Amino acid sequence: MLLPIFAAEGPNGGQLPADINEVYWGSLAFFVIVGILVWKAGPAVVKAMEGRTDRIQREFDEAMLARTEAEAVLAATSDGAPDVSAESNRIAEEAAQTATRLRVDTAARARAEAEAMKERATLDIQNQTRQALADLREEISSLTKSATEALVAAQLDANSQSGLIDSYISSLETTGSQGR
Amino acid sequence: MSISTSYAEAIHAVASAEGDVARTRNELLAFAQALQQNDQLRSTLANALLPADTRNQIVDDLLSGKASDVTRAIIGLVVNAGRGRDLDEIINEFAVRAATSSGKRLAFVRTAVPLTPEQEKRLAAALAQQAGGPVELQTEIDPSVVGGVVTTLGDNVIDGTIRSRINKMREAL
Repeated sequence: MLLPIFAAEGPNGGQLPADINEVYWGSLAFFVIVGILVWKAGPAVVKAMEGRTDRIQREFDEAMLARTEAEAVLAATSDGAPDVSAESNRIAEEAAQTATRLRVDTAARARAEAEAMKERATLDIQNQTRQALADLREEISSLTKSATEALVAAQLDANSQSGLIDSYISSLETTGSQGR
Repeated sequence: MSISTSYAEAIHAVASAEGDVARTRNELLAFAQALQQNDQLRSTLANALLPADTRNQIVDDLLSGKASDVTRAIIGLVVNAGRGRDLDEIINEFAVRAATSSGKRLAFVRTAVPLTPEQEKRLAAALAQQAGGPVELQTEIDPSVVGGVVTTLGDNVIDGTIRSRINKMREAL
């Protein structure tokens, strides 16, 4: 591996170039370039590093927060476990109350409907009774009318008929003379 | 103007042209009374399913030798026109019109027994007093009135029948 170096040995018999000034100027140029790089790019690199550090820190903080929250939820779940039976009891009690209320409501509604049906039935009976009485009355009056007509017709002889006509004419004459 | 009024006017015009309104009126009224007492005759003459010739033949058979040619022609015309159902209404309209044209009013009088001439005279006079002018009576025997008289003078009905009194009694019951 050292062969190329020895091969590059200069005319002065050493490892350095033959002209020592090249070493000086080269070194000077190297340091100048390094200085410029440090001067110009250094802050940006530092800033980038600081940003990366901040981001990592933030992510770390968030992870810590998530962990804390998870632990809190776990603790709450563990603490809440004994309340399940209480909740269950409460739900059962509410269900029992609801059932009781429904039973009472249903019974009340059934009673109300029965009352309404009874009222309707009573009204129907009354109406039918009224209708039957009206029909009976109509039938009786119709029979009475027929019987009366037959009886009167049998009673009316020629003199009676003539008397009725005369009476009618007289009433017209009286009305006419009063109207004058 | 109703159909009946139109027919009545036409019949009056024909009877006037023939110069015997009174006879035509009496014959037509007699035929109307026969119609009222015979539902089968009325429904036969009103039956549009029967051929017009058949209905005309019935009218001719009924009135042959009993009514004038004018009366027979008038009834035949109304029946052929499919107005057999309205015949009595048309005849009554014509009778009222005929009486009016002679300066009188026509009163339709229904009784259970015939009126005596004296009663007719008194009744006509009493109705004339009511109407304020001469009244001609068109009498009809109707046993359903039982007794008494019912008179129709224009729109005015004067009911003095036993039947109406029995009806009132029935309503009171």
